[in-house]
Amino acid sequence: MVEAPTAPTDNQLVARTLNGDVGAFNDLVTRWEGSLYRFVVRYLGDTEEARDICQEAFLRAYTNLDRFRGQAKFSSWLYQIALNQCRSQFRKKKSRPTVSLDEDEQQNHLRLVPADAETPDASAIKVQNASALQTALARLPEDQRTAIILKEYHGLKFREIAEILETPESTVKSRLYHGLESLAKSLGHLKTQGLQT
Amino acid sequence: MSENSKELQELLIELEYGELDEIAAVEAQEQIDADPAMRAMQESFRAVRTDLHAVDEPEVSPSRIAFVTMPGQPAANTWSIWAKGAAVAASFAFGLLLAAAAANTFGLMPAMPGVDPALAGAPDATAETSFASMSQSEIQDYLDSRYARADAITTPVADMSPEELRPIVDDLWSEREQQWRGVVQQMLNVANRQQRDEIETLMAGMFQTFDAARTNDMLAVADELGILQQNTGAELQRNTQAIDYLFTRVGLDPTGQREQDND
Repeated sequence: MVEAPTAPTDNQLVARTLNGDVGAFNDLVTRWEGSLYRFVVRYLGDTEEARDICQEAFLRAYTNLDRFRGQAKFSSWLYQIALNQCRSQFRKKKSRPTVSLDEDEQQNHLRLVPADAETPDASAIKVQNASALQTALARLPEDQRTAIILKEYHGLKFREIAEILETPESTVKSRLYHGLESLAKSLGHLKTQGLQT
Repeated sequence: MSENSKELQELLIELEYGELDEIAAVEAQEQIDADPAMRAMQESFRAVRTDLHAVDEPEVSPSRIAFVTMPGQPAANTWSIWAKGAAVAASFAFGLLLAAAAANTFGLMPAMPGVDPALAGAPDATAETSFASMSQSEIQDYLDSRYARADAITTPVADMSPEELRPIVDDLWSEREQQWRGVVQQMLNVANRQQRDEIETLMAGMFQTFDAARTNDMLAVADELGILQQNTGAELQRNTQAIDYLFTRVGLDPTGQREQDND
């Protein structure tokens, strides 16, 4: 019986790229571009910027591939590059004057509509809820937001997130806890039962 | 308020994200159940996580992400990697070039949206501006590194007469044109096949009309695209600043024409 060929690991593809195999890096891009793009979109909330940042992240990964030592996972390294790009972009955006909704209006955006609400336009609710979540996420401190995105949407292990953020695992857990707590407050989910104030 | 110890907080997170083994998970849940505040927090977290997953995944647009699969482009050599970076710029440039084609001449480009009018239409003014970003000594060092050794020019550039400077200007100018042609050609090469024929037509027309007077328009476009921030643009940037500086010394405007007296 012939065994089905197994896909090469990331580290094998990296090694092949460093040995001049052009297609190996293409395979890495194909493998990770979707995840990376989704991460950046969720971080920045802007699809156009996300495309540019993903391009740049892969370019940087390629040109610095010889510095990748294989101590961390390739994907963690790639996320780290993209995260640095995102942070840089985020700083630029913060330094630019922006037109923002007033606080009351923003607060309204955070009220989630029940998915089973009787309305002829369920898709509009979905969009509204997505917008409210994006706003709530955007209001979180950057370190908490990053940890939540990587854990919730990318399913990374605490150890992997710790590698990307270059921080202890306990810090990652703490950021997740406080990030979720803030989201619960923002989205009106914070249960007060049992709390003594 | 009951005190949620750091350990209990971590335990809750580990439990919720399934990073505890079966026995540890049971023990963790018992500890959480014993603390009403933590139990309430657990419910809150679950509600939040449900919301987080109720929204659609962002769709991946392959048109610009999958740059390595661009037809006919090998991925791993210096040129193609740079070119792929320029692909983003190329797509934007395509729009600008269409606008230019509609105007049928780059002479109209100063009015293009998105291009700094000061850059596009007023080269004399930008000469001062761009030069201001370099110190006299930086300009001098740059020119010295290019010419002093090779041509045994001993006179500092700042002390040269216009006649002495003119050959240097011409030399730099020619090089800048060549660099520009290279940049534009690379942008063309990375454009996708659907756009390639159209861009080639546009480029052919552009090269025909390319002359010194149009260079500033193209620089403005490139500057807008951020191309000058790329490695290949750094040299061009310095070159441009040096040319602008020299033009002001020679008494020519950057189109190569001698400045007219207004009076």
